[in-house]
Amino acid sequence: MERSVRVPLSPQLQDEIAERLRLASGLMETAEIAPTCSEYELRNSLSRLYYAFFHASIALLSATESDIEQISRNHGALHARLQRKFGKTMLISRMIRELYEVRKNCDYETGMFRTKYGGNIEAGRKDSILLLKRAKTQFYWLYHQARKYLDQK
Amino acid sequence: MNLTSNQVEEMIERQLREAALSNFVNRAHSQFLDMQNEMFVEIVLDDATHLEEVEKIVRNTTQELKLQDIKLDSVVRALWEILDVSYVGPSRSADGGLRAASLYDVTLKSGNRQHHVAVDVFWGATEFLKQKRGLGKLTSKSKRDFQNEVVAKAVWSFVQHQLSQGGISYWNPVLHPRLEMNDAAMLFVFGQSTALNELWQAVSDSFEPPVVDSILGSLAASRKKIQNFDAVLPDLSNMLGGAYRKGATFSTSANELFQKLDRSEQELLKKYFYARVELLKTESPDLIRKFSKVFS
Repeated sequence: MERSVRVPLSPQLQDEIAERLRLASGLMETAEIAPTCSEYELRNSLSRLYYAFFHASIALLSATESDIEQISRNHGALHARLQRKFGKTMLISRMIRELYEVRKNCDYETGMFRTKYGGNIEAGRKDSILLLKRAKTQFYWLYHQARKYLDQK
Repeated sequence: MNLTSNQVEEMIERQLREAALSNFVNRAHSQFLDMQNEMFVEIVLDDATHLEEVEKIVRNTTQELKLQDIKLDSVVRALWEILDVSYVGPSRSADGGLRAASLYDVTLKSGNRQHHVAVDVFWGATEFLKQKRGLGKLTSKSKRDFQNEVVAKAVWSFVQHQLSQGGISYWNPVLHPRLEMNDAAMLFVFGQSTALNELWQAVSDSFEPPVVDSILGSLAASRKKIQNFDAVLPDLSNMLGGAYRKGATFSTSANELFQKLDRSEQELLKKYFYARVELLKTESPDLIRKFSKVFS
């Protein structure tokens, strides 16, 4: 149904996609948020959550579009490609931009928890668990969309 | 000459205004993206009757920009809503042979245009749903109708998901009026209905032998009739929940969950509840005698 024509992927590209998906899946598995995790563990988890999406997106786009290697180092370009592929209002397009903002805050904003949660780590954990829950559904959908292209082997 | 995506948007917007088509554009869904080496526009209409006219405008703009050495990639599509999903019968292939699937007819609407699409639901997908929804247990005469209704609801969600995809992945129901729903698609749709799944499971659990006695006792104590679903609903809250961990949230109020369902899901859940009541009457006459006031 999709506009792009599905052509068999080269074994090398399939390997690259599989490698990306392994990385994405591994990052997602380690993005778990423990009930007693510290602020820094929480920051790490949310940052990994974004990169899980990042690699799964590249895997899917690599299977369907050209020049993905070029955009794999440019977050904005990747988000635009994803938005072109799925539309502006698809949850996946909004989710990756939301997670990117969260990841930037987690990696660079020293006072993020103080500003957003008044230093209440429990509130931060709760919010993050809900975000993770929302994100997981989208992630696995993206992951399986990309996986479909490997099943051609 | 370099153009920004904003300038391309203005060009197209002006032509749409001149052609009196601007009002049909859904701005929340439409997008204009600068993709480094090219521009991408997606024009989304609220009324599919104007698709061809808008496509023509975008094609002309593409040609115009090409003369300036600017590449414009585009999608012009319409927003469709589902009006109805109904079971047709066994699915047949083009040569008339039976397929291992059931056929559902879906009526779509976009502005003034209506369109029908066919969805083949493979038996494997139906079996999966029947098992998950505990439909095998039902013995009432209208069991088959109810099963078809449950599958129709899943087809509705499946088509809704197809329609929700935009960008270059969008589904054009006019060009591709036939869809197939296999077990993987059913699994995905099932996973999306969390509130319905929780409540459905709560109803199923309430009628299981170790629990049903205490539920009926509780209804008797509060003088509630089992034929009044709205009155019984709060008692289903006891069947919700699960392991709690710090920071996590879980459902505790059946009423709140019920409000999250759309009307058709609410009706379906009620029908399932009443079907389980009928089954209970057939299978456990002793309980009917014991709690005669609840069943009166």
